[in-house]
Amino acid sequence: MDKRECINLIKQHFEIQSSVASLKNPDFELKSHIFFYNNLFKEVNEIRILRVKSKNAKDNIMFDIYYVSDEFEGLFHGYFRIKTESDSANKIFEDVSKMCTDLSEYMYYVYQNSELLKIYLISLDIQSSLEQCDMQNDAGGFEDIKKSIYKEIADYDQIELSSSILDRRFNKKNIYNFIVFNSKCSEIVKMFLLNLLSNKYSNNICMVNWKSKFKNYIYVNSNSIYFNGNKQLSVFSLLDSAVLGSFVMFVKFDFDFEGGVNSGKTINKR
Amino acid sequence: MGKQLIKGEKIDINKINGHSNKFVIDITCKSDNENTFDIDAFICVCETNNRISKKGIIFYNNPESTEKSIWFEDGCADNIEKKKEFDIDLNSVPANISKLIIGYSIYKSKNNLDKQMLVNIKLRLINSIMQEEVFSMDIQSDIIVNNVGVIGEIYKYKEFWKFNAIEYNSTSDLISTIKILYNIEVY
Repeated sequence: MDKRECINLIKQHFEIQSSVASLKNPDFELKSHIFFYNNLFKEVNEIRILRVKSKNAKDNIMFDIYYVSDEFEGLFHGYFRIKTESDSANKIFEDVSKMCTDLSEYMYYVYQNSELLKIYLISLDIQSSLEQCDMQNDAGGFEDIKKSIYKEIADYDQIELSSSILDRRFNKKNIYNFIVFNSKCSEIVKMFLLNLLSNKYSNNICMVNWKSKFKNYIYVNSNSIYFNGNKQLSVFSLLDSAVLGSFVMFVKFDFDFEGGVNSGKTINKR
Repeated sequence: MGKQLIKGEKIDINKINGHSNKFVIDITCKSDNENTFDIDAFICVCETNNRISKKGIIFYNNPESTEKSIWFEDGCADNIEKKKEFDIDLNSVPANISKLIIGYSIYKSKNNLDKQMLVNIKLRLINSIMQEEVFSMDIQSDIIVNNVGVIGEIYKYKEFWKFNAIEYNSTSDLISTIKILYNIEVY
């Protein structure tokens, strides 16, 4: 299913209501920069702008969309934060990013990454969808990851650690450089960077350089993000588990130096 | 205090560095404006056929060259002074390398930026054994206008390594600037 078909299907089964007087007839095509350049929204840090509900009230899938007034050159001018308001919505959004800049791209991304939403949009019965959907509980896996990371930190001496870890004070700069030096980031990478920049994860991420010997880390290049080569594991759930379990996730950036004027001009290795 | 180089001046490193090819390139940047910017130093390892491998760009995220001849270290970074260092052993640089291009990029945080903001960037070559400054170079850059700069290059000339003081500021990005100056390919 392509993005257009997906959004049409979501529109058929979900209603979207504005929470602000100036936003009439909202839809899933909203982009955050529209609010950023609107003087009305300049002075607020965060405001609920939309409530989305399943048309079938019995299913009680409900989530709110907040606009956050912030900017980061090259990445976003304002962004949306998704806050789930019901248990079924919690389940649908369990393994996906809850921040985005483009609602239609985001809803399509959620559709592609939430088995529960895919089944629900066909069955139109959340109970039946939950029964059919094998909701994996990754808690045990995340606990193992936490132990592996702790064990790994204990294995290295102070010099090895300090030569691998990048100064946390410069996380913003490191992300900026990654965007500027690299080729254009994919939507999922943009969402991941957006999450890294938020206060929510700032105490639970640690950027390490390319030469670090850590085996447990989130790998980021312009197109993809994954943990320890495992593309099935949701890095967004992993970040949430790091906050809940109070542990640190290492993040390693792969620079391709194809940004700037060089953007899109890949020179093949001879 | 070592010799003070000016733009365009060339110097034989081996001769001036006590016949040693081991030294530290120290880049410090001072400004009165607090918390408004940071600089990142880069060494681009250029091969004889004017090509630079992506893994041959040495900076904070890739602090060690493949054959361990260049090692980057982020020095102290307070609100007033930022310091970056490269430990270099030219004896370990592979034979197919013709030059090391030394540059920097500027990161500007958006707050408190004036119309003009001049910063002083100083490059020093320090003898690793004696810990003495061999030569230095002073550069002034308006970081509101400029995004990157190429400070100098260490290049091989008839088996001898020389330093050429370049001092070139640019509004473009680092790789594009180096491509313009050197007509190189990045692979």
